[in-house]
Amino acid sequence: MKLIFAHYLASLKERGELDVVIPDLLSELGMTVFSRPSRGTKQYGVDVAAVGTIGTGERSLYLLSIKPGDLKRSTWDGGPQSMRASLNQIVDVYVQKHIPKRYSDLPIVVVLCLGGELHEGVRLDVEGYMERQSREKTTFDVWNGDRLADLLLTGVLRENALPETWRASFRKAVALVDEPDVCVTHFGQFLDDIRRACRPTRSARLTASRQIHVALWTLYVWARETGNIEAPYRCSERAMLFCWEISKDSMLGNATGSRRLRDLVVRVITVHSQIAYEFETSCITPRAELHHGLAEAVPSQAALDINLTLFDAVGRLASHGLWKWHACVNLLTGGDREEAESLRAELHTQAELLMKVIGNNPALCTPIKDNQAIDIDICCLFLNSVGYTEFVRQWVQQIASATMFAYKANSTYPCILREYRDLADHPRKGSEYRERATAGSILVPTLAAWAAITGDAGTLEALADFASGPYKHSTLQLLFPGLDTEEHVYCGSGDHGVALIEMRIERSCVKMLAVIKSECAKLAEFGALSAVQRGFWPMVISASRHHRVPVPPHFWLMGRVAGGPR
Amino acid sequence: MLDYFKKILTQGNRADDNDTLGEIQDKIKTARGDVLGWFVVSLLLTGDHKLCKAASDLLQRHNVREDIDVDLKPFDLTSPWILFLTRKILGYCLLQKKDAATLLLSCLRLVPEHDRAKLEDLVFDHFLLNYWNAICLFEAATSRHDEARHSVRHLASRIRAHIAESERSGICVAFKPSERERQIQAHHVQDFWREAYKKADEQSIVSVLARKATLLYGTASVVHLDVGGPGSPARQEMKLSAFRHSVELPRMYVLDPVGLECRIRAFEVEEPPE
Repeated sequence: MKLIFAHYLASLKERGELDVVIPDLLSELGMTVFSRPSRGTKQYGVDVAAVGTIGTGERSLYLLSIKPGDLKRSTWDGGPQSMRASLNQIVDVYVQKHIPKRYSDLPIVVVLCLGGELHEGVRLDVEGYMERQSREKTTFDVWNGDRLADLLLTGVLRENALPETWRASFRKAVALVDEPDVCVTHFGQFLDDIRRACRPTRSARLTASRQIHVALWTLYVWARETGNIEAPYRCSERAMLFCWEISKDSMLGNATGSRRLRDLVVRVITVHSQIAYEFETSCITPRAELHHGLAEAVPSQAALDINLTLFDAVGRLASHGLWKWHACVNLLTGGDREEAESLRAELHTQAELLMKVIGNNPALCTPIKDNQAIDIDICCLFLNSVGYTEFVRQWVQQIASATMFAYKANSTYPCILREYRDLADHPRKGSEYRERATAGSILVPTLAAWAAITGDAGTLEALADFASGPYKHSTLQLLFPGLDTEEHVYCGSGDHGVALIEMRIERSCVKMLAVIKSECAKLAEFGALSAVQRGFWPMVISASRHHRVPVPPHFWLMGRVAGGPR
Repeated sequence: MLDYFKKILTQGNRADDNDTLGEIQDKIKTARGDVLGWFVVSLLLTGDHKLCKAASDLLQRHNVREDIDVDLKPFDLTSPWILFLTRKILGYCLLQKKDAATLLLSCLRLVPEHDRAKLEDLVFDHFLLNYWNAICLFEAATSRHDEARHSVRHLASRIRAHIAESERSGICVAFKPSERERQIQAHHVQDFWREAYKKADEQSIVSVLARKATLLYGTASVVHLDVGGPGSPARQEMKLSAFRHSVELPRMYVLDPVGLECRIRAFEVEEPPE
């Protein structure tokens, strides 16, 4: 276990990675962290400052200067960003002028905090420096990756907070990071253990969230080295949802614990966003311009594998886009126009990437599973919210045409089968099988809704004819959040929601939208979902995507410029 | 003969019509390449589904069939008709890669300049993207003074750029199906071929004429046959050889199967130009 964490710590970068973990590590050791890494403010060499006791030592003031990886000659003394320059600033300025009055009597420990090791080549230089600069009240210490791993295991991941069975699940997840299905199963087990055992107190929730954060980072770092980002993507999405489930009831208010909990949730979301970004840049962007580029990148000769992968990939792209949109709206609300504008540009880049992928991979017009309506829906939501309504209209029209054609021609039409083995056999011969495989549908009503939203009366009419003709055996349905949704939606712990069944596809866009609006008004539990109430509505989208449950139709009423679902 | 053939195909339903049809089909299949080509094009130009299907059947594998050879000049086709013929070739003959390449090349030779780009797009999108190496067939069949050489050069640079780009991007490990999914697919393919072999075996003429013997090892067999009379049983030694046949499937069959089927259907049902 220690080796896993030592390796993880050695692979972290300074900005946004190692410096994010250290404050959590100190907090869990019972220390008070009063200065955290921040951009723009002068910190005089101190990345993290904390007060407390480590082990059996006396209560001290710890001033940490953090450097990622190994400390070599170049990073020890090679310019203004070197460790030595930071230590000089701490000794010359911070210790003299910046220590808060309430801590001025405490002994000071200046810590050289390294993700990796202290190289032999600079050991003498470092020890010499520490001897020269040590005073009666100021001493030095080196925390290398090994020591940090020890601190992690005695703090955030201590035995009584993380029993051996949980550690075993986590170890298996890390060891099998290159086999995403297995990795996700073990990591899911690990998350579930943490969630079940978490007591309903703020401090317990804080510890659980920190454990999730550290575990997720560790997994990510290991996967980064194998060059396969699939497992961490799926694990991070699940970790984010579990973290929300654990924290949602203790994150309101201005108490320090609540703020820390909110901070942690945001940090887990940030890790997920970072992984999503890496997934996009390494797997999607390089192939987006090429005709059939993404389809060609799937290492399989089975059309089914390609179809499943493509819809999953665009769902991820759009889901990340909606998180960005959420961040952009928050920035605008907070008055940070400059940052919001830069994020708005990113949003358009993201939307253009998604449109290129859809345009260049025609297989994305031919869903094979009915529940790929979820990915289609998320893509439409994102593109429509950024303003690409015309593209959505055309895409929906193509999907509707292809779906109707495939069904009539007994080609690979969308079916309700979910098991891979059944899908591999789909479509079988016989009208009885065909009716069984299409006994219900969320795809047709979803397409109809988007045809109505984008004002495509022609597609809506075609779908209405299809639904009342060859598809009349199918139970068309939409799922609305119900009273039991909040309990299950984030962790996928069970079925939930209210299904509106026997849906009629109206022939007029206005009438179709009126039906949806009326049901949204009547089934108003959506507004009671914690993620919606606390302004984190994309969490519901991620939950729908991750657990393969339809996105609540209330999102269809989300305006293009509004701050979220109404 | 073409009219008679058409008549039987569209109107005939008696048993002796079927025999005659089989005979005619066999005759055309084993005729010279240019005769076969002429029949195929003539049938495709009718736009009638049955006749076009018959054209496609004429191109099926045959032991003694010559390579198809087509000269479209005698047909005196205008630009819309050439585009129509191209779409019919793509609709009905796509699985016969080599023959389709010959037919398409003859269209490229004849198309007027103002519609050349349109025809090239059709060939690129629906043929070359399906068979990356088909460009070599085009190149091998065009001489220095060939009317299609500019189009072939143009298409070659497009498809090679596409292949290079695709190979540069390579596959993505994150998209790899799980071990379980790979195993299920492998079983699925095995089942498919087992069923295909069984069907082929049942329909084989050999299974009717001869007794079946299953050899577990060896590349030759010896059998003592009781033929009656002196010298019986007769010893017969037979060297065995394997017969293999492979068909290259269009790439879109895997990348976008419904789209491929939809496009083929659209090409098939297209009415002839006014």
